[in-house]
Amino acid sequence: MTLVSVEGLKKDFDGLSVLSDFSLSVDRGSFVSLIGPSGCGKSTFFDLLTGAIAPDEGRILWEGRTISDLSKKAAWMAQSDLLLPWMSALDNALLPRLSPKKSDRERAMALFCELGLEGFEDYLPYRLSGGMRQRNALARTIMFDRELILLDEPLSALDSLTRQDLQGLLVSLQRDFGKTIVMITHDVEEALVTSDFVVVLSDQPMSVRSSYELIGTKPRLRDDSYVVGLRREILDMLGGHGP
Amino acid sequence: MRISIPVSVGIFLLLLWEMGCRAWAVPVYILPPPSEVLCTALSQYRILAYHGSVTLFEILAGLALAIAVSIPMASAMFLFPWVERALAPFLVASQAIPVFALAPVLVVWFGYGIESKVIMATVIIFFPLTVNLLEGFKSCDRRHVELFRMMGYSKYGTLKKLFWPWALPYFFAGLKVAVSVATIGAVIGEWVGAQRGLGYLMIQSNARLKTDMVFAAILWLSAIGLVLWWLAGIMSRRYAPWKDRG
Repeated sequence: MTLVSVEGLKKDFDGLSVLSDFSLSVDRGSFVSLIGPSGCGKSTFFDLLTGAIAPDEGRILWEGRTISDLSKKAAWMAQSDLLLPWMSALDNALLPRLSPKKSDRERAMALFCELGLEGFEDYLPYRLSGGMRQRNALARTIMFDRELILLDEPLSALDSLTRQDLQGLLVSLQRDFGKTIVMITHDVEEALVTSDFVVVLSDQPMSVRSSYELIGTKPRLRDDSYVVGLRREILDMLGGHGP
Repeated sequence: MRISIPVSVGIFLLLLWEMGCRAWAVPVYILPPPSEVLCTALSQYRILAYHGSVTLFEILAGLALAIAVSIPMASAMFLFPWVERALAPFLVASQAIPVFALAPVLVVWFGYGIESKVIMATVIIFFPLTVNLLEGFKSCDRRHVELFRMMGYSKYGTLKKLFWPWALPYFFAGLKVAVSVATIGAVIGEWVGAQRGLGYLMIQSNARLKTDMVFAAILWLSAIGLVLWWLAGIMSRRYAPWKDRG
């Protein structure tokens, strides 16, 4: 069942067409990754979804009903963790609860245990490693309590080991917390390891070049022949315009 | 290393001054040597401390008043762009007017007491505070603002939890500038008309050719400015430590 879809989205910047007649639909409970060349308009697409900018044309539908944007429906996690340096890790995670109750606090504490942040609740962000900061941001994203999660290259600033670790967490976020995830990534392998659907995008104006429905248990092994084959195919498709 | 360089430069300049005065036998009423100034600053500490405390009070009261004006003003200018458009020209104009021109009028309006000096100090202080705070609000990262919007925070909730802490290092930077120039406002006010304060003492001493006392008052004034600047730095590190942590 489709949770969110966009139809005929169009956005120009100073005469440059970034998105033109762009359509996409995302099923409830699925994990969709968007891959495309740098500067193809992926972030603009997210900005349109979150309502940071308005489309010139087109519409966004939530469960079949047109809405202006997803700012009240989706949680968002950016490339940088966006933790507030003056707040403890726990308070950062509690930010989406505007007036946190005791139950919210307990839930955040439990989340810290699940994400391997137990004992770091009172730490200020500068004392946390890159991976821990991103886990902290993930905890904050979960605390939004929204069904849809928009991930904008959430792991791109991390080293490969931490990244692999967090890819597993993203999968469990979908599976264990019942979330629907749309992720922008420039890492084809990451998309293949974590996603149910991989959408390959073309350069500006952005359009869907190809999409893949993936099979098998997640997180997939990166040296699995299925993953390796698809990776080669997608990279060949992207050619010189690789992400 | 951080302290030793300016201290060395200071000592070198003082030695140059001392030797110059002695070599050319400059009369004390024209330019007293630093040793004479230091002697007066210490031996006359009761008088200097009394007048210094008056000036310090004027500066602190001006600072308090400027903070009370600048925080709501910068917040209003940030939250409502029409307020910024309406006030910005007057804010800049207030700094284009020489404080010397304002001082006599303020003395006429508020009298020879400390009120006119407090207002003078406020006029000088509130500009760097307001401008810095406003810049701090405006410098807030767009993605953080986006995050707060998606979390459902109101304009005031965002101001309280995001913009204000974000702008705090800017506010303290403005405060450091403000305390450095605050002495100017208070002293000019005292020059124009006062019965107490270091500015008053300087005018009185100058009229009696007690130049060493004038310099001793300047020394005390510099010390007040330096201590306030240092305290502002401590407050910045205490209340906005994330600025230095990157």
